[in-house]
Amino acid sequence: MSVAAATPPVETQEAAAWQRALERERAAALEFWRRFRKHRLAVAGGVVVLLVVAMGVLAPWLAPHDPAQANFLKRFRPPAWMEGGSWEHPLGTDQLGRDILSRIMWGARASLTVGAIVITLATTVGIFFGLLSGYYGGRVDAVIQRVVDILLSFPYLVLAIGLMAVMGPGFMNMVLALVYKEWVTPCRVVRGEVLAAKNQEYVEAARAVGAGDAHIMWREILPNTLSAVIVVATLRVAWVILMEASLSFLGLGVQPPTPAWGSMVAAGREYIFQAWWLATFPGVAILVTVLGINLLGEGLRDALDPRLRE
Amino acid sequence: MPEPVLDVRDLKTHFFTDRGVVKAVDGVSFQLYPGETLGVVGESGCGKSMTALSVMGLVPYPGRIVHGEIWLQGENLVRKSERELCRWRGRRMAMIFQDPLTTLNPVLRVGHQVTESIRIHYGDDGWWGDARPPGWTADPLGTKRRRLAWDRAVAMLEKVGIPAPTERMRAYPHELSGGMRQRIMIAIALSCNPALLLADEPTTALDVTIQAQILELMQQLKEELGTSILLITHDFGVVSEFCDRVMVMYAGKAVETGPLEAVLDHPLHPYTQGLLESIPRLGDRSRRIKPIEGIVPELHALPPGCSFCTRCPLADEQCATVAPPLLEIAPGHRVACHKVPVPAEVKGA
Repeated sequence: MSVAAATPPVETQEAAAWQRALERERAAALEFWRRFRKHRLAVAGGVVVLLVVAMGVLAPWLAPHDPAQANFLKRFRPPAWMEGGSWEHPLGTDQLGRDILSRIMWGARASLTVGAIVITLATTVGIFFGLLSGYYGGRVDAVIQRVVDILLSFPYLVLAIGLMAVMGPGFMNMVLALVYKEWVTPCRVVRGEVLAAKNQEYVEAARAVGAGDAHIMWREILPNTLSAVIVVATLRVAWVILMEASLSFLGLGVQPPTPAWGSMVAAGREYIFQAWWLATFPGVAILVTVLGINLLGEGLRDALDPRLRE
Repeated sequence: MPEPVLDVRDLKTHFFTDRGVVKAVDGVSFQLYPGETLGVVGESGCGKSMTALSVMGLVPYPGRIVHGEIWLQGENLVRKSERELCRWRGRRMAMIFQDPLTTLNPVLRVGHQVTESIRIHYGDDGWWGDARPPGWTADPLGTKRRRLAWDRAVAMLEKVGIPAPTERMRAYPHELSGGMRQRIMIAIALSCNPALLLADEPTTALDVTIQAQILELMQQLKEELGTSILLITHDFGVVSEFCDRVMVMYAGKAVETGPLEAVLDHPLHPYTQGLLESIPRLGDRSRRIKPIEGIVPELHALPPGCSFCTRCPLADEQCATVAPPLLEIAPGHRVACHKVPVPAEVKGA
């Protein structure tokens, strides 16, 4: 009886345990942040990515003009700081008199959406086949890896252009064309991680308590591969954004009148000597975004997965 | 005699490698009775672990059970499908491995891992983790199952002597000490109340002081739960503290089995004698430690006779050509050696 009086009720104990677990979690998060923060460039990259995302999301409210609104009286207006420019169009106007700043803001949506959708789909598919390939090995592995090898032997852009030519241009077709090849990267990464993890003793221990193949793959091995997957996925977003820009530049990607950085560069190419700002600013947007994601990805890699550091 | 929990009959587990057939386990037979502890002793690579893995049905590629029967609670495991074995592993037989550092998944919480076995087996062959509440009905989302698994896991952690079990459930393995992790492994192994526990060098990776604690814990749990234990070790000290019977293995074969006292006090096989003489004793400087000369022969090229004849001081012509049978010399005490005088009544039989 005295014992019951001395020990606090179970609910209080549980609450206290939760509290301590939460504190430990917070400490772990803090440790991650501390390691990440040491990379000043990675933090800068993160800030850039956040700004670009905010720019895309808030484009309808932030953009000073309608990105599709043509005005033939205001064609080829230079940026504000040049002679003849005005703050009404800070980055000038294009050949149809549309506001370039607004178009860049709206164009961020296309790039980021394609990047996010393609990487999400590709990572899902890649994890699935990577797990199968690494876990079962043998014939399953041979078949999957030969498919991967074949896809890797195609130049990325050529394959994408070929697929787009068959399927026709357009947003969803571009996403599919990019996923078609992009899944091999996470697939290879996951396979490698699975190969390393599947001979660990904890897998044998899981088997010894009666876990089946599916359980071991998804519950035991997959969590061990996730940090590598997150890092690779982040870095590949930059690559996919470049591919989207390339396809849009070639006129296969996002179709007018939807603004996209790639198609803006393509349109501005013709006027590069008379009005350099048409092609330059969207180009700079691509550069800054891709650089930001790459820096962020490298910082994540060092903070999340020290093994991947060269 | 009661029915044995585990009855292994002439088990042969061979590995088919490029260099030939490696006979890791070559004709081993033994019984394990309810509540009994059998110590399996031998050098590295003598087939101790493979015997245990054969019982679990976890022989790694390119190995395979080629002959023999493994009867657990009256059913032959060798004849069972992988699917059936999955239902038995962790439920009827469980295993503890050597290194608790690597046998816990580093990225999953302890709670996830302790409840895993219960979640997998809950409801199998009418086992409800003795926690199924009255009026328990449908559980389509598995919430009740998870809740009960959690409660039982906390109770198990308490049982293996882990302080603040609710808190430990939410910890990751790296936050715990080696002894604590091995206690957790024991909790996982015993969480579904298996009839048979296979312990593969459970204390080798631990500090000596922790070793004693873990052995004491296993002893106590064995008495409480009535689990039969197959304890694999190379440490006669552990055997003498913990086991009821001993089986000495050499090159995939059992060379001597018997009750603990009989084997330790009157070892008959030259290999057992050698093993016992190679143990250092505290405070006895007059006695030199005698190593067994030579090394274990390659398992894919064993001599036709007694496997130990290449290292045995007593070996002669007969030992090199004829394999000695395992004969019962005294009640329950069997040995496989030509050089051990066989009592007349055994010879006649």
